[in-house]
Amino acid sequence: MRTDRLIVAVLTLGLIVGSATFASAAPKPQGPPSDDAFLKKVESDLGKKDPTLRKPKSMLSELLPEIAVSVGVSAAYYRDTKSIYTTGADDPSQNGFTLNYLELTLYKNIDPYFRASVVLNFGFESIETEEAYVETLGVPGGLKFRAGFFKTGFGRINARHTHTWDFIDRPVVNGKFFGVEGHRLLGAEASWLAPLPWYLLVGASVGMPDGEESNRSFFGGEKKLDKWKQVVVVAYVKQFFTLGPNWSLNLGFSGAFGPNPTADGKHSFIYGGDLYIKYRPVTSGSYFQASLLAEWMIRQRQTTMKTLTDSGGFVELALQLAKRWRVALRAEHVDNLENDYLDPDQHGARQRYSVSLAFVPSEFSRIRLQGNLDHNRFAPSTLSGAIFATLEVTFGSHPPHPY
Amino acid sequence: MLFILVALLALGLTPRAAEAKLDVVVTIPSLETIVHAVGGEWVTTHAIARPTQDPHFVDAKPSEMLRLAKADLLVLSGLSLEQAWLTPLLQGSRNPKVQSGAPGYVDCSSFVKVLDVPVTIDRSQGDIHPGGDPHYLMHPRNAQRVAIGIYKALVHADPAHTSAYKANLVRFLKALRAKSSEWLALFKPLAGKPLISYHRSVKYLARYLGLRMLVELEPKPGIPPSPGHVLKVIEVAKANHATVILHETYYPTKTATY
Repeated sequence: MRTDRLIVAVLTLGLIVGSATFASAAPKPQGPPSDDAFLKKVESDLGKKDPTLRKPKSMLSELLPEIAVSVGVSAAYYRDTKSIYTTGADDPSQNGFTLNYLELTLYKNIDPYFRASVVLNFGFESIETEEAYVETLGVPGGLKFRAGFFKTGFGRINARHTHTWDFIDRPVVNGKFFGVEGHRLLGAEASWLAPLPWYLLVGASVGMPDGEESNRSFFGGEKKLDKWKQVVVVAYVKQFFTLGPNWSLNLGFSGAFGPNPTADGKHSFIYGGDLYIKYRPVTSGSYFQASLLAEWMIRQRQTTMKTLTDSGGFVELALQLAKRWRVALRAEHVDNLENDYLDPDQHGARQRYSVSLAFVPSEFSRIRLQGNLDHNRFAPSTLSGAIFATLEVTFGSHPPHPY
Repeated sequence: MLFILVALLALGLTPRAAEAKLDVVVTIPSLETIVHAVGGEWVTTHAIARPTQDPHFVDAKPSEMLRLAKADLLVLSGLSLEQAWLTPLLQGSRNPKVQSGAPGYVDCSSFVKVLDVPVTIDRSQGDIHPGGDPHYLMHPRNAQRVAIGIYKALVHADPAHTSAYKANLVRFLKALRAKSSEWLALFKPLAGKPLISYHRSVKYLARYLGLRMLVELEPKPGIPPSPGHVLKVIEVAKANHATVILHETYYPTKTATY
């Protein structure tokens, strides 16, 4: 009898507790039933979304990569043709017309994990690979990895292509320290977006120096060593600060380290700092903006005798006067280095001043008039000038440019 | 044994810990209003573009990448309105939850009825939008469709607060539908009247209010008014007795005032 009552008690308790659990595990109440009825009425009133109203993209376009072409053409007049010292592959380098660049950019998300980008540069007799790399898309923790052949994240202007610059010619210091194509590596890169309240990006790349065009201070065009001994490392920190609604500040520090060909065990070190301040008033109906870009680099090359140290940099001021008019001013300096046997044709203090007036009919085209004044102590004419008129266009689906 | 049974069942009855708010990043302020109306106290919203900015030309600032890095949802207008600046932000954010195609990527253009899908796509016609006119929020019926779409996205991301979102959605839809009748009554005197706009952006509004779109101050979309074109506009306006110019706040007003 007692056992029976115990069983009944347990079962009853179980039923009570069980039904309470079931009630709480059931879906939470969906609100008053009139809400559901109202929503149904609204949805039928608005009509079902009609998929035929949108033109579906053809399947082919989904399979093809995004393709964009950039072309730059210029006409140049140099006061003294014997004093032309360009340091960029796309610079107008002769009196007369120059095809500054003809670039084909292809990019696409390959799968949920990777995105590929390829940039090819077409000359009259050659096709060169400017960049070709794969990057990750969804690695957690703010990480991104990249592998292939790419322009490194040293400074601000290095990774950007000519058609995004405010001047048609490469800054002297970038061309002198790295090469006519800027710094590029065939290798891998890792970067990390720090989980901080302000933007802090830390990155490092490691790779092979690939040619005189991108690694002048390292093993540029020299006879190759055992490959792993040539490796160049680049490390950078990039920060962004919002200073109120109208001002923003970018601050970066970069370093590049690697062996140089002077002797076994000798290395080159390049340190750089960059600053980009932008003023863009958020008032209605105005397209005005002003920006200041400055980069400075210090280079130390170990040799069998002494360490050669030189430096250089540039400052650019750009003013967006109206939606389609932009004015920019640039001042550059690179140091004087006596007996620089590594750079025999580029030694000597040099200052260059440039002014550019650009008419930008749309985001896809630009007409520019640029004037340069070159003060180069070791050129036949210490002071020489040049004028360029350029036309640059982009067509196709070009990827948007970074800030 | 009974004690253990009761204890286990009791555990099932304990309330869950309070959930964190949903972090929603929105591209344009008008969409943020809708997200806030439907999400209410359970979402925090942040709009990348300011109301005073032309949404075609927003800076892809790294600080916005940081915002996107922490976001649960990204709500955008779509139809290539933000394409110039949203892609670098998405790439820089490294957040797989909100990349294109992920459930956290909410393209509101997929909810609405789109006007002006171009037959041929050629940039000689100006800055055209290949998918159709993206200024669809100007029609209250599209705004209702967007609200319902956003509601579904919020419920998918945060099913625990479905009832709250539903109540907010119903409240928003009722208020909007009531206001819509008021606006229609207010604009009745203008029905059929010819209208000039700055940018080719008010087709939806015109359709809703029964207004007749005459001409735009921009000769082609994205091209600022040229003196020759402005003269033509003045001729057309005089011929048709057009007295109203519609203008978004982020376009310069000099030409319209003249």
